[in-house]
Amino acid sequence: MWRFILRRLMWMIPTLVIISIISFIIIQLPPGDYLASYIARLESRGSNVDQATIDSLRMRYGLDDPLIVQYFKWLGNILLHGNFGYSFEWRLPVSQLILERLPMTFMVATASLLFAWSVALPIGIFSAVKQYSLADYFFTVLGFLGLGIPNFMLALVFLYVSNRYFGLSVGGLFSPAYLNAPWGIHKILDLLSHLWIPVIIIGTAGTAGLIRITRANVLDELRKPYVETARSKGLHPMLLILKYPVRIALNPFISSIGFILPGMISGEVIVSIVLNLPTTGPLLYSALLSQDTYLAGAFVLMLAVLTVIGVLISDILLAWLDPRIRLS
Amino acid sequence: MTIEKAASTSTASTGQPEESPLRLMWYKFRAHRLAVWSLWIIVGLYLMAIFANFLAPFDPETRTGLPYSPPSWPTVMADDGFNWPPVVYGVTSTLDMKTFKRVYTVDTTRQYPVKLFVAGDQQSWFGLFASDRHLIGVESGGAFFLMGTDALGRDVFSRVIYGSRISLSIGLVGVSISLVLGVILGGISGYFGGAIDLVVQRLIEIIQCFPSIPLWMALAAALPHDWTTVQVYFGITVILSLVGWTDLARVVRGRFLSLREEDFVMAARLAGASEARIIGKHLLPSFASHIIASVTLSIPSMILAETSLSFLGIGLTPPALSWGVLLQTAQNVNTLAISPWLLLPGGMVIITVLAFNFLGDGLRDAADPFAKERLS
Amino acid sequence: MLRLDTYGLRRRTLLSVAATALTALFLTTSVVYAEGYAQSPILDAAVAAGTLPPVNERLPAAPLVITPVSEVGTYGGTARVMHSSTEEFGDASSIVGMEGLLRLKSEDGTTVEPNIAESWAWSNDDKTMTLKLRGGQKWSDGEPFTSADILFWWEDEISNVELNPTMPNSFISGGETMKVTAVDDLTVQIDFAVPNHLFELWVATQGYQSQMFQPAHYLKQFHPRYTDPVKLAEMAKTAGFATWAELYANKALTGDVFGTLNFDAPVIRAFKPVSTSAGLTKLERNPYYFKVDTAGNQLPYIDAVDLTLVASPEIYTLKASSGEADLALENTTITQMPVYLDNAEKAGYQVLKYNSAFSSIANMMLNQTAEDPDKRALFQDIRFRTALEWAINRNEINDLVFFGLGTPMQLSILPIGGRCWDEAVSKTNTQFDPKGAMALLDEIGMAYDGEYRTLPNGKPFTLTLTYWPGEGGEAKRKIVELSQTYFRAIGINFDVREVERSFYFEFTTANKHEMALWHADSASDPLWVNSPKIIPIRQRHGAFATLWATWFETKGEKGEEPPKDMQETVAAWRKAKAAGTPEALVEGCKAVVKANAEGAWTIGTVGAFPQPLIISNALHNVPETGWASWDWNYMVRYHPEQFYLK
Repeated sequence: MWRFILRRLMWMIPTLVIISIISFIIIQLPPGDYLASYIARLESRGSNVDQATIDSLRMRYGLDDPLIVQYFKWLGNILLHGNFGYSFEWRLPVSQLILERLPMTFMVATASLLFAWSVALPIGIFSAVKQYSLADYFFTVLGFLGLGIPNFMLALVFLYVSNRYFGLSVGGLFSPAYLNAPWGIHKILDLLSHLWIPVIIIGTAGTAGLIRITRANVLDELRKPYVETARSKGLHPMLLILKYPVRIALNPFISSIGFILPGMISGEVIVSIVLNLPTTGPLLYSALLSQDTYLAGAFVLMLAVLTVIGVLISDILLAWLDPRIRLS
Repeated sequence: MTIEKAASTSTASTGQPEESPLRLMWYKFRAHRLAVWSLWIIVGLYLMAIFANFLAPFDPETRTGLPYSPPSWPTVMADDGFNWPPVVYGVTSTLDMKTFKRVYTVDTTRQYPVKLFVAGDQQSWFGLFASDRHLIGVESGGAFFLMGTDALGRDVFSRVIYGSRISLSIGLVGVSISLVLGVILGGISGYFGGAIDLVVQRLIEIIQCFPSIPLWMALAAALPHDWTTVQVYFGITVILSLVGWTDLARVVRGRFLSLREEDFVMAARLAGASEARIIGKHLLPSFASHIIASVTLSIPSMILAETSLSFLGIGLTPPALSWGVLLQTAQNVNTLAISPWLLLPGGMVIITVLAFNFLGDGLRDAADPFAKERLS
Repeated sequence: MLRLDTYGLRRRTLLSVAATALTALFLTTSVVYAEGYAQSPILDAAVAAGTLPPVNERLPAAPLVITPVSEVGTYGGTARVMHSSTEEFGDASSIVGMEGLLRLKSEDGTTVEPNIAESWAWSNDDKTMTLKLRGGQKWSDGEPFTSADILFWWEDEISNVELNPTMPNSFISGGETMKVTAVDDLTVQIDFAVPNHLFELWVATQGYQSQMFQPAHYLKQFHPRYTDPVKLAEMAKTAGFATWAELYANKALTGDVFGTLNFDAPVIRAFKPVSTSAGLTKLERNPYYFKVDTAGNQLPYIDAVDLTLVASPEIYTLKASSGEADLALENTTITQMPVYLDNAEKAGYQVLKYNSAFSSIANMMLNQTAEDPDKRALFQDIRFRTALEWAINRNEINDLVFFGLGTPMQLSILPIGGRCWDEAVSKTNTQFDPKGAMALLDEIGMAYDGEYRTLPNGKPFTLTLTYWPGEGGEAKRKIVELSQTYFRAIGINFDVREVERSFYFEFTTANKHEMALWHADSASDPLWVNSPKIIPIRQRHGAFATLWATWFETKGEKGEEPPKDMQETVAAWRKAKAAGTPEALVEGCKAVVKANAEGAWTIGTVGAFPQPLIISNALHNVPETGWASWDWNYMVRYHPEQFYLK
């Protein structure tokens, strides 16, 4: 077991190096730099940016260095000083910006995940037990709807309806009155009244995949000898299923755990842009748009590294559960 | 020789109808009725895309002069009684300068019967021949807008039909590229194993680690700026498939890993068949059904990705016409407040995505009902 | 010898707008109130406790008196506004205001009048400008505002090569950098090498806080001239900056005019930021603000401002149309008019139709110096450009996009009917005549196969438009979609490529485009003169002839020499700019507008359409009509400090 873990850890090093290089390339790939986009933004609103301003900014941001120098400066600062750099656009340290938004992001992601599972599990089990019945089709279509509706469209519809017909203050996770208020029961209630929208939208987009996994697992389980035996003894398969729900859910959950968080973070980008959520998604998007190099780079790197770690954890867990993998 | 025989039985078996894997698959597939319905829906959608010029009542760029007209359907209950053929009424539009909304008044005295093969905008079918006939429609002047009209007065229904050409083909083209990449790289990785496998596996892992949106944005921004709409369309397809091939490669690799140890492969190898022949002749056909299922399941994500790219402003943009473009243009509060019918193209996306998903599920159930490891 | 020009004497006689002049006189007359001034009740406690000096001591000796738009207001309330990014503060400044040494008069947006400076004067030869400050004016921390603050800005910021490697063009005249000297505590003298009367327009319009003065007493601690460089380097490092210059820029609020990150820097503006978190920035009134109303109440009336970051345009629209903002202007668009009006009564706001200062939201430009020689020859043929002009149905665009409220026109200098307006010139080639266009293209020899036309030499021809769809809501996209059908109707195979805004600049400045499209701003009188986009004098806004623009910008070193008529047009603008007199400005703008229209240099579509201004029913003293444009920093023109909440 330990050798397996060690081997996987060793493999992470070249992977991470390549990932850091690709992250840097991705954020440098679009032509131009932050300054170009900054000046373009000012000029599109009538400002006339003098060459003098451009020169001074370029010098100040160190944008004149060659790419390779910028890369090593960037990586060196991260590795040696834990310094992710400075966001040009927000004029704040990158780590501060990201950390500020991480708790909310985790909360939205976790809530969405719980929601997705709570919808997908029953539908998945039901549609396996009642395979090819009308009810199976009905619930499967229902469960898959979220996958089919483009996220941004659903988000806008929810926004509009909750604003116009329920009088909810839209945008963000709090009403203006509670934005800076101390935590309390009212603030939590206010949060909940906003949270359900992104949770449903992000959650439903993920249910389809989970339904598929659960359904296949249950189908698999139903064909196992113990089920046959139990069934021949007159036990209803549904009872069996209910007896082993954890077992059914565990394996696919573990093997997908690596991709869940990064998937949720990048999955919520589009929804969060529409909903103006104080999560990392819109920050990442605007950083990419404005070519805020260090912010975008830190994001891409962070998500990629999280995925690598997630995959590692799920591999270790799977190996722990199933010795065959460990030995192969 | 026994070895030759073993190899030939597996090929010969395809010749016998009652044992054909494809036929077996079809029998199993038919049990999944949702998948069968989905298949017909998809066939219908692609026929719609191919014959858009004949099915759409209008040219997608024709401005009817009636902007923001709500959907107006033909009725059979004109003149207080049953009427055949159904008719649509004439409408007049005025702009209310107090509310800035278009007010539509229906003029029941002007009736336009709905006709088949009606003459309308001149349309060319892929540049091969041109005709002004449309399957269904009314003579000019009648408000025959099944999905209403947009801000410029264009018929949304016709635009949805024409938009399906790009949206439905982007999935096919993109998946074909993914398929080629996935089969080649996944096949090589699974068949040869060892160092090659390791490298390809790392590559897949690295690509899958990157969040898709930054990857899309970077690649889309790197598309040359002097490309035409058609080139951009292909560029976007390539971008989507560059990200999308990894899943297919994993499926293919997994199958290769388990199949290469099978007896018939060993037999072929002993018989002196070349590696390429073994892969092409024996391995690929033996799990074609799985590939078909996986491919079917990755088409809808490409269709959705196309709409997302348009939303993010890095995909196709007007005046190009796709479902993503239609949705992107409708993505504002104004639409919800005064012209919700502009969101109807979203319904088409939903139907298509669901149909492909159920079709894929059905195909996979049929291909291998006992398989589960490829699902996660 | 100095010649007083304080109350726009010269302008008044020339413009002969008696009514305006009367208000001007009234607005700027200092009234001394014997009993003292009134202040907002929220400051009473601090004054009573002795932590804040009484209002009479906080105001300058002669405060600027503002006449409220409709009535003397009442104190109190928190105004709610939104901003969409860290750079866009149009709505915020529409409440908070911006204070320059001078300003443009609300009524005409043209006449320069005093603001922070009590008066200014020019020498007879227009080479020396003397600014007189208000005695007793203070920063928001109570420190006096003097000529030292202007001198600090000039000597230690602008002239410091580490902060500013290149001297900005605005401060160079006749090839020489201007000279700034402090005559005494309240008098600053600026000397130019050549007459530079228009500099006063620059002072009046570039109204950002850091534009011509800086709080010397606060910033000296971050400047190596006043603080030990070793210690400063240490400070910079602790704060996470590489150099002192970065630290200074951060503290001096350079490029961060709303100080959302640094709450220590004192301000002159009506409000001062106090905190920011979770996208909400809070601003409080500046107790030392230097303006009072006609009844002697210290302004502003409003006590505080809540500024919310709303990046999504749809949320902006929803919030604005559900009464969650007291003022929304920057990101409203005429295309969303039905939504605003739909909910106005229920949500308690009104929608005012202000004027946008675009002389065209979508101005198309065929690159006269396109790379492809065949296309360049075609684009330089005025018949081709005219054909494109005639192919466009501007009335249809106006109806479908602007509810018929815009005006079809070529690029012009607004306002319509103003001194720069020429109705006939504005209508040049705006007629919809596809038949005439077809005839012109036939005449050029572009063969037509019933669908598309070839180049005159028989090669296949496509025309690609490169543009950024932002600004003006969906208007640009709709116009582009319509234009594609117009151009295809006359046989031009027209293709469109949408790009991000920074790519647009990169693409057009590199001369890689065939046709570009941009919004025609910088088109209002008299602000057009500073950087007109109607002539190709700068690469970044010379998309209709990039290489000519390069030639003008590099003074003939690079690029290509433009034709004579273009050189003459640019000369006319230069003349107007150098003279700076009203006659010269009018002459100049008429010349450039006419040259552009008659040469069909750029293809204008529809301009001068309304811009919705959303005002909550609680907000008062907002003019019923006006201009909503960044030219005048949105509502800054209308004295937002006298808006009040009731």
